[in-house]
Amino acid sequence: MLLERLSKKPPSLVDLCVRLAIDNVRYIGYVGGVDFQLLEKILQHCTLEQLMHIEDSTQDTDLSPVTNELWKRFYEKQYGAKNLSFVMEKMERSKVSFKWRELYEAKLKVVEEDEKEAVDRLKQRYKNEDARKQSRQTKLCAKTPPMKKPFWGNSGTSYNLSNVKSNIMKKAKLDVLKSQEVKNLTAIKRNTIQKSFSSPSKRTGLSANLPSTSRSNSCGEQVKNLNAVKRNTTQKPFSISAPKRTGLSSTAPSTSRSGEGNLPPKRINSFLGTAPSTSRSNSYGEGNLPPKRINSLTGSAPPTSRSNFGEGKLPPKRNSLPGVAPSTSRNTATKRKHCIVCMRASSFELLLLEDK
Amino acid sequence: MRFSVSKKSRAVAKADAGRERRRRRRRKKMRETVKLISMEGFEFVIDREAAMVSQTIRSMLTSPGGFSESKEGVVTFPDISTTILEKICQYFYWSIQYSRGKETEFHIEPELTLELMMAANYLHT
Repeated sequence: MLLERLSKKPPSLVDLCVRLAIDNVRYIGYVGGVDFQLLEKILQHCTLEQLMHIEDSTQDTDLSPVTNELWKRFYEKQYGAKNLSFVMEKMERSKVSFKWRELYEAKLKVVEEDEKEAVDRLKQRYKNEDARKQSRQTKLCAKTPPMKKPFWGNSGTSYNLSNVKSNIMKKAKLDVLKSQEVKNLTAIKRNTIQKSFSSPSKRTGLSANLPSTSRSNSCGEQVKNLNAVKRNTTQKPFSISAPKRTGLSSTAPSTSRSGEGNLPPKRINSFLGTAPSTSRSNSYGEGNLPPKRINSLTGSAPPTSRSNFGEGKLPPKRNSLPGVAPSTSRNTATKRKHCIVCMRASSFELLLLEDK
Repeated sequence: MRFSVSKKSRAVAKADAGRERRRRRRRKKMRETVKLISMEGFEFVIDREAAMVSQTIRSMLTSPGGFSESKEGVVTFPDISTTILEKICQYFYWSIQYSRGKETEFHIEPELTLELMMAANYLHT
């Protein structure tokens, strides 16, 4: 044995084992009973998660003497040296010492909560923005809101708030109903109702009224005029009266061209009498009067003429003028359209006149 | 370090004289091998030289004091399992080979790592 030359000292079994353990540190679980010095050598090479796993797997042994330092290092790496020193100072001041692992976990929780809050705030903001945009979008509505009751005798300023229960909502609804857009819509609705409610006999009167009123008045006055029309139509009976101004029949075409809506149909009727032309010329200059005059015409207008002359054709005649259709239909097209249409119709009438 | 100073040595005291005579006859042989016993009772007979790689065993076998280990050349390890003890014996022989020039790699199964490490630490090897 003395003669043997120990050329190289073989590595100790302990060293070999430690090296192997470090290589396979991710597979290590329970380490109870292992010498702390050895454990220190090995655990220095593991990550945060691995350390956590080992500590959790080794519940029966307190590995703190070894792991505390390691946790401190992890804490510093994650949250910065400044924070570390701050925490240490705090602990010194309050004479309390916590395990670094606990401090690390607590800090992690706090950070996570902050993050979550920030994310939630951002989400809420996006939601709000979205909702705002959605509310501004115009949405298609399949059905029209139901008509509560006919607007007879309705001054146009009373609003139906019977559905609304809370005071705030009432106020809000009132504001909406008072807005210009809603007023326009209600006016249009009323037009359609008028048309639907009016009897056939009154139809021409109404139709005659609408174009003239639209022409002579601005949109805002429509309501007033319509009301006037209604009143007139409901109150005045039919009267057959000859027009006072008779000399204007020659000027009829010009007046009609000047823009009355549905008068052309009346003119047709008036060939049997000259009333319509005169009324037309008058209405051109006057505001609210047209309704009245036309009412008087209605006495001489199609319904009576029809009955007098037995001409069942008149309604069809009226219909034959394509432009006239709007007056009789329940179409809610604007008054301007009526005018344009009637102008076309009037030219057609001229042709008829010429023919005759 | 634990020596099994036990009933064994006391019980053997009577028969000691007889044994001593027998031992003297087998001294050479006895000197050359050593028996290591695992916790399960497995007996590993290895060369004395090999066993001496472990400092613990070396001091067990050479300590003055009349411990049975030194006399009998038998060491029991109730804490070490058979597989680990086997691996340790293998290491002894590998170590001698290594020191004689044959530098090979000593492979260790990963499952044994921690236990082997603990045993090796205990045996100062």
